[in-house]
Amino acid sequence: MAIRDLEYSPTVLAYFDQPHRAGTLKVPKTQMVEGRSGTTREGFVVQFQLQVAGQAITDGRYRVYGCPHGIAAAAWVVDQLIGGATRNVGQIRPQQIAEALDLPVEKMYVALIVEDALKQCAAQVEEE
Amino acid sequence: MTKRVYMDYAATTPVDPCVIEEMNRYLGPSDLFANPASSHWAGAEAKKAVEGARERIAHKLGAHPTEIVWTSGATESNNLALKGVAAYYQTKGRHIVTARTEHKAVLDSAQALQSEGFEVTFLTPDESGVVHPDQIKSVLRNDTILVSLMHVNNEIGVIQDIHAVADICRARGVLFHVDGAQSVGKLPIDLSRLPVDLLSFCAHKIYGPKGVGGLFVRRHPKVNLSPLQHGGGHEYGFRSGTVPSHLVTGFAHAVELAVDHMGVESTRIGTLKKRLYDGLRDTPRILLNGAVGTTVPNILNVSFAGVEGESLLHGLRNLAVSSGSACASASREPSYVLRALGRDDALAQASIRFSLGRFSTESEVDFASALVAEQVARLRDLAPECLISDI
Repeated sequence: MAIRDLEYSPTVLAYFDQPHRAGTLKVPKTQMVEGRSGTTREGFVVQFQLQVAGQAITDGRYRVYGCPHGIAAAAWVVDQLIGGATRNVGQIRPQQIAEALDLPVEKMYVALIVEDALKQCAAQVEEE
Repeated sequence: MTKRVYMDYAATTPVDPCVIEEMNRYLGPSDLFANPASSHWAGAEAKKAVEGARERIAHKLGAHPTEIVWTSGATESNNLALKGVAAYYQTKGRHIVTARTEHKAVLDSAQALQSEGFEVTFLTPDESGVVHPDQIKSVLRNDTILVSLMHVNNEIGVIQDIHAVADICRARGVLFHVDGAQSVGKLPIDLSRLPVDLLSFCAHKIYGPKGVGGLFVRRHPKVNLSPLQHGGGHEYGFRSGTVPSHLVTGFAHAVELAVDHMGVESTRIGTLKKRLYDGLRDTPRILLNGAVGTTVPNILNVSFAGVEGESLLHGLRNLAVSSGSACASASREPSYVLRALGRDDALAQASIRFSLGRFSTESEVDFASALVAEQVARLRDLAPECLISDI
């Protein structure tokens, strides 16, 4: 049960301690897009709800089961998207998340799973 | 200032101030610092202390002083026991029996022997972590030379019935090694009545210094070992190297303190463990690893359903505990001990080992249970609702 030093960037620590915007949106389903990815076996599950008004993301929430890097990744993504254009949803890349949060290589899977969930949101945006 | 609590006494303990006092006598420019193997008067003084320490430990364990071999710790003792027996008795047989929940020092030694052509049977314990003596009986063969089983599991604290296993091994003429790193000084051990052949133990789990351990090697009936290191034939030829007199005298003092106060200390710590478990049980959906009544008083291992292990550990960062989580490592393999008990990956990851000790207090226990309740609730609130009932 040896534990290696757990090192987190200041951004990850801040999101872990204050995971604002966690939860679910209180608006009708018709006003939001949703995406979910990951499994408990992978140690990471993330779910996004983004409120859409025209071509803009006006609000967003996430729920997450995962490590501090995963919690931070979910929170950071929602912060980036709110107030921006809907086209941004499908344009966030794993490398951006990794750089913003200083993810170690072994935690890249977190960014990939987040990207998968965002792709589901983006597909719904396109349908609308 | 942020409150921080140490609750990882099964990993290591602070050195008792009385032990430090004794060790200091052998470090400075006194008559006691010399190499105990030197033939001059100063060496003789150091040798007297070293042999005195050997006698003191042997006396507390019901052994003869010549049956105690100094090592650098339990890891070396376990290596010497397995590899030393295997090398010496390989013409008699090449089969070894151990359990999947042993310490890595035993498992890795056994795997190293496998690569040299020895056959190793790894037994799986029941869901509470117990290896039943009948399991061992059923796998012994004519070419079995050694059974190695830990007395107390370091992760979940489960106690094995080593007396029954020792009787089985003795009846079959198979050597029996016990890893006693978590039991010496904490459970009564009388080697004059307990027919084990080899016993590994160390100082730093019982308020002695790091860097010193012992291996009991029975003389009657005589057990032989091939040494792993050479260079002077110290320790009856089993383990060469200058004996550190400050470490072995501190070790002896630590054993004496632990054995002499065992009853009072285990009662007090057992009461604290019950208080901790009662506090944790206010949190829903926790699972105890290691059945009630089969574990030592100082170790409590609990899994928290619906919580990811690394986040739980980080949420508890002001509490020094061990975790079944290995998320921070490249392998991401959860605790192999809990997996062997049948826990799934998520529950094995989300397990915490609380280990209490001589300096633990009621207020520390209450701090721990309150912090755990707060962090578990917080992390469960973050999780997707669909997972809450699944995990």
